[in-house]
Amino acid sequence: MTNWTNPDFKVQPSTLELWNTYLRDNMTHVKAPPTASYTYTYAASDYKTTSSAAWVAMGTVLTLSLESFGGDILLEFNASIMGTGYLDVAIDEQRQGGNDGILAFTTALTIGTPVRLSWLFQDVVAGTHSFDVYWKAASGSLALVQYVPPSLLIREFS
Amino acid sequence: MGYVTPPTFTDIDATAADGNVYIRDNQLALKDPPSQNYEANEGTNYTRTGSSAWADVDTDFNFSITTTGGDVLISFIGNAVRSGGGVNQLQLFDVSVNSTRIINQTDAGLAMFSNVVTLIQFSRRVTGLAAGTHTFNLQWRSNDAAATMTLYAGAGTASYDTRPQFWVRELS
Repeated sequence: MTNWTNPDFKVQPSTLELWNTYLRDNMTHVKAPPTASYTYTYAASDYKTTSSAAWVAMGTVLTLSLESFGGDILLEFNASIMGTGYLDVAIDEQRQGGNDGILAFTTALTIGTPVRLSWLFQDVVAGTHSFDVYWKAASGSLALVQYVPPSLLIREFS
Repeated sequence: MGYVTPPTFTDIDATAADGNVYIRDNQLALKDPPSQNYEANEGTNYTRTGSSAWADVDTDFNFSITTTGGDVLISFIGNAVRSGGGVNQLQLFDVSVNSTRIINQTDAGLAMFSNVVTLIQFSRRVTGLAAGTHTFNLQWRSNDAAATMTLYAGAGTASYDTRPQFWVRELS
């Protein structure tokens, strides 16, 4: 990943260094922005479960960090979940949703409920940030389902 | 116009050709990257009966884009249901990329549904694609030969006159 530097042409004529920083490096940065992701292996042994009625981070492999250069960051979480509960996302351990998060889900299916959670973090300051998916059970327990290997993607969007 | 990785500039008196390749064409490529989209609004819903083999949902959802070597994001949303067969049988969607499914397991996919009308939505970043033409096909299967799978497609079904959308887009 190539760093982004805010363009600021002050020198006349422009120097080669400025061209390579503001044009070459920034173009390369926009083409391949900071990105972090994790995708479960099918039927891995560490598919997460919880019976917590309070918010808890899924944690470990689903905690991602990313060095941002300032701007918006897109989060995409995909899974199927068995149980009835709530989902939320957090940046630097700060949840974004309300008391019941961003998304409530009820297992209408005995095989689990498909969940896609897409969230835009706006105007994130430059620096390294951590991202988490939180969940809590409305009753009973929750479990990620192996038939849809979960994935989490974080990507600077602008 | 495709994207061309900018070189290390050794002369700030860049030629017009350089400017057109590394500034004009690259900005155009980033502004309007390769993508394909289909929003179904059909006379009949998409259906498939009784097979555990993976197959394309329909040629409407078979895409081909020519990328410049970046990641590709795929996205799908729609309503699907299974009728007939056993109550707890598993139905799945997946996407094949250049004829290899993303979740390359017989009994796993990017989303699943059952005998209750289900909101299917998923996204996935596809990495490691070289510059060139790549195919993306929406596929489905059931593990119950007695089942009929239905993807609603704006065909006027009571309570489920919903339109699915499938798109792919080079991310960078």
